[in-house]
Amino acid sequence: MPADVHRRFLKLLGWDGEELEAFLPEWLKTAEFLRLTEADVAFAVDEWLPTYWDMSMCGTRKFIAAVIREAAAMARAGDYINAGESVIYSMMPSAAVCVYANRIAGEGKVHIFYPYFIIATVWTSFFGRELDARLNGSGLDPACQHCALNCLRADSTIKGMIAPPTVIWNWGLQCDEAPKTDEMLKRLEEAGWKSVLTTIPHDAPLGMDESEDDGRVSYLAEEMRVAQSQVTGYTGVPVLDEHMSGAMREYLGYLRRVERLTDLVMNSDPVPMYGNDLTLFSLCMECAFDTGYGYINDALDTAIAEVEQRIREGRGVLPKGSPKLACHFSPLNVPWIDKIFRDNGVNLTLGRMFPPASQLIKCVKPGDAYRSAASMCLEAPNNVNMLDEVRMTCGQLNRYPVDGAIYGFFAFDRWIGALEKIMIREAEERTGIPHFYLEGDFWNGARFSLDDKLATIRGICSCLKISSLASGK
Amino acid sequence: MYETLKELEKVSSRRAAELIEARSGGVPLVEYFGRFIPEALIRACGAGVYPLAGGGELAPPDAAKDDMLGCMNPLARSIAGGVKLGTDRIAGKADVVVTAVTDIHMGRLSELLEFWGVNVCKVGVPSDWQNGIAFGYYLNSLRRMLETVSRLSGKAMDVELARKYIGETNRVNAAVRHIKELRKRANPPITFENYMRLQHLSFRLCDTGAAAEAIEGIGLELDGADGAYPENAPRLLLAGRAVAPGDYELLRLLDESGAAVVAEMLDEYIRVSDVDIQLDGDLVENFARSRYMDTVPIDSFQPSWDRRLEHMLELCGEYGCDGVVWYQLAYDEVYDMEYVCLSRSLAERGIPLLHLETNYSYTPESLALARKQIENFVGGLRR
Repeated sequence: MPADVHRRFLKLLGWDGEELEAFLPEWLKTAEFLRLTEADVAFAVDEWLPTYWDMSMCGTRKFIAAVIREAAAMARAGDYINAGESVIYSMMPSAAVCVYANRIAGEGKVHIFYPYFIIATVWTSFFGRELDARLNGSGLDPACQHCALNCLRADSTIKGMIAPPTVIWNWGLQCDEAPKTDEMLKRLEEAGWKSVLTTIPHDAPLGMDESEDDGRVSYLAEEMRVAQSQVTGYTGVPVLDEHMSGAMREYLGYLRRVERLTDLVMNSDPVPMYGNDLTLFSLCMECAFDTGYGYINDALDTAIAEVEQRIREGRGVLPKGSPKLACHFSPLNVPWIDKIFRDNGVNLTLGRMFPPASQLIKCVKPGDAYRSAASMCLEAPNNVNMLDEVRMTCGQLNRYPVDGAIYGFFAFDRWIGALEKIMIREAEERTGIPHFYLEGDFWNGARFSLDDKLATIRGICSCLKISSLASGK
Repeated sequence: MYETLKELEKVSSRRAAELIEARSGGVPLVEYFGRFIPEALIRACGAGVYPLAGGGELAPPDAAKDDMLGCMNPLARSIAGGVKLGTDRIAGKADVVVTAVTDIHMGRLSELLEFWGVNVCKVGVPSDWQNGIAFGYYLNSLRRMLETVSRLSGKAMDVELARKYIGETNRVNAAVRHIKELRKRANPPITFENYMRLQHLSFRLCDTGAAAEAIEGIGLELDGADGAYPENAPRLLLAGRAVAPGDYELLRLLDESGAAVVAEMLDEYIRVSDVDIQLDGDLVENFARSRYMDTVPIDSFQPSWDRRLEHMLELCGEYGCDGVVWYQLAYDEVYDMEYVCLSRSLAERGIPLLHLETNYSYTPESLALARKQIENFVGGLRR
């Protein structure tokens, strides 16, 4: 029976009984929307998910389910538009608070989605499907090393996969390519959607703590305010201070949970959770879900309880004393990287090295919520100048006991990856922690293979293990 | 023409030496990059100016490889590598390097220079130019930069001097426009290589008065000159980010292909000559407006491609172009995206388009390949 494999998929993620049967038709539509065949789903259920994710953790299964629910909601975007409701698409990285405030203000009539990020995450993380920048359908030159996420965006739009939204809220907090993809698609597709851009030039003096600089914070806040007024012009839904405060409250609730989980995992020996899983829970640091925070907070609370239990029992994913390697990229999009490290006796941890909630909470000041949101954006390491990023990264590396740090999977990214080689030399000097560089592209697994990376990864693992032995750990 | 340019080249070399000497006498030296930086106003703040230039040679981008990602565009890597290798005429001697941060390539290049200990002053140029608050950001950034220069020189901007230098800049623009008019002739009297050399020299003379005089003189010389190309040569428009001072070999290939490059749409290393800067009122704001609002937007501005296409079509009409050459820097992602749109728009209009890409590796092999590409394209235009 064709639906069996889909039932098995939903069951694996925690659906059961009537709830499963009720959700099944929606999932089938979602699978169709995501261009997932039965074979793809069977592969995920039988091979991919059990191999790369800790499916024994209920929290992990719940979080994957939350992402699937978000994908299902996104598949209905066309229905929302047809029903006269508004749909806002947004791009990564964004100020999640600003986007989410529209959902609160809309009271069910405004929907927010990050469609390309969700599709990319579902495909790469849960179904083992690589994003291949060569297949972008737009004529972009693959040799130019375009971002695979933007290529996915071009390709999916050109193929009519994604319903046109009411408005796209684009963010130029890091690169130029994402905002310009919008203009390219408008030209190629003659698309009638509206778009709004929030951006700030990367002209801060090297070493400036950008989140503390009044001029930068004020300007970015004003950019956000202007963008919001444009978005409101298209949705017809004004966003008031109370909506921004509500969004901020919910966001901070999520951040605190992520910090609690991170603290537990990072301060434990043995490490109680896979690197992929830990990174998964931080998925919403720079985006928001239309399905809200309920499912993801429940997943986080469950994971926190499970991790606490494992710590009490002294259980880990590797033996006590195994080295911990902080990871500057998001391993969940190429989940086999985490596994190879684990298979070679090293825990990959702290994916993306996002700042802890407590650091971001410092940015929240009473009064103007846009200023707080702007300040938080400028406290995100990847959005700021190289030495400000080093400052934040070193803060993370000094906060948790790690044996090394690994970078390099932004080798396609002309902003994040541009000066990474000198950045890691600087961070290594400041922390005394060994840093490694493994060149790759975390969106686009098609650019490299396990064989390419295996020898390097084994080399890094051996180095860490020898260091551990030498230090008598 | 060639002799005149050679003479000007010598003047420009002497000028660099004079600026270095003046610096030892207390006149600060400012190196700058980008069309958004006002050389005239910096000079009016009591400093000498020299354009930060790079590109067209392989060694500098290679020199930056250890510090900078390989897929940054080769222009950014060239400028960085040039500073590292000291190949720039005044490398390491400037008191401050002023850069216009128009995109991430320029943003990261500026950071790298700072990391190496270069005193960098960045001028932020927001890409959302139609957003009401963005112009103010650029204008404030310019004012802060000029204050930095004034602090170095110990002099506030001399407004009368500024007006004089801007007047001279307008004279340069008028002289460039005159030469552009001459390029509309059936057989233009100046090759593209010489035209671009002249453009580059107009910055490297470091003196708007001298530049105006030189270009006016050359314009007069060209008034009575014969055509520089074979009769009935196909006419081309060249577009892209920049033709760098080291690109002349490639320009020569174009000039020798039997086609005439008669017009261009470039974002850097070129005079913004289509608009003059107003001489009344706030000169800083006038300059900012002329670069940010009143001219064709650069590629990274959003939105810009409709206006840029419109401008290219206007140029094709005015200059009677038979085809377009898109000069693409390797890994320059936003220009590659514009090319995708442009290729469709030009195809719809039946205008032939050649994609000529460079990573500044002008080896005999890569030049032979480029020659073949150009010859095939020009051959197609003739048919």
